[in-house]
Amino acid sequence: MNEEASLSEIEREQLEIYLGTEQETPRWTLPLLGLIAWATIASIDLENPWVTIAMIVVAGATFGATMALQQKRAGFSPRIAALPEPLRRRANSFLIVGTAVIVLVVVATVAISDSPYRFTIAGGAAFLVIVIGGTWFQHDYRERAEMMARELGIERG
Amino acid sequence: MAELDPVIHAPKRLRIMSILAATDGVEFSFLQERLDLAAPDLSKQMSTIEKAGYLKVDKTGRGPGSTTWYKLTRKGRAAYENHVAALRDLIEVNPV
Repeated sequence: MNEEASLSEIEREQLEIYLGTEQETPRWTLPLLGLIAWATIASIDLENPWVTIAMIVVAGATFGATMALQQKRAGFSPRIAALPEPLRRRANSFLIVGTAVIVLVVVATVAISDSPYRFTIAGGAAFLVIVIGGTWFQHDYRERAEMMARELGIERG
Repeated sequence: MAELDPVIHAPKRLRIMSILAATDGVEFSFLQERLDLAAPDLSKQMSTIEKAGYLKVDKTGRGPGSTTWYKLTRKGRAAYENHVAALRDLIEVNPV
């Protein structure tokens, strides 16, 4: 088998995994993750560390279950390091910037609010960041993937 | 100079390994659909790769609803990267 053809074929095979499949995320995913983040942050207002610890465990389990469900539907577990550029750079930036924005929004809300429910309000702000930011990222990622697929002549299924 | 791996060099297994290398795990039917292979043929190829110690197999459930997931082992990922490096070496030595 020609070595150059082998290499081209495997490179295309790998691109097709990420560009050739439409990975629809269920609409409830982002609101659910936002709700869990809100509940976890809001639980601090109860001033009972055990409730917050329990919420962190629930949040982790929900996040894990959501990812597992997503992978089951797709039939594969994505590997961020193997994402084609610029999708990898976008996914990494989104994770880093998204986390930083959530932390900033929560800290700023708690700092400027004198309400006894300031963590509940901060959780609400985190909910909005997750839903709005996540929707924007999904849209941007899909558009970029579609554009790359068109440029490379990969049919999206 | 890196050497070609006889387990990976067969065209079908090279495609399988390239998919596995680009993911953190794939389900049997996903592979079957992507490669357009019959189930017994794909099972045979997976078995060959597994025997080489390149695969971790995870079966869940029983009957029609059961699923089989495959993931590259560290040894498998290293073997794949080595094989790709060998292909690149050959291209450099014998440019078209």
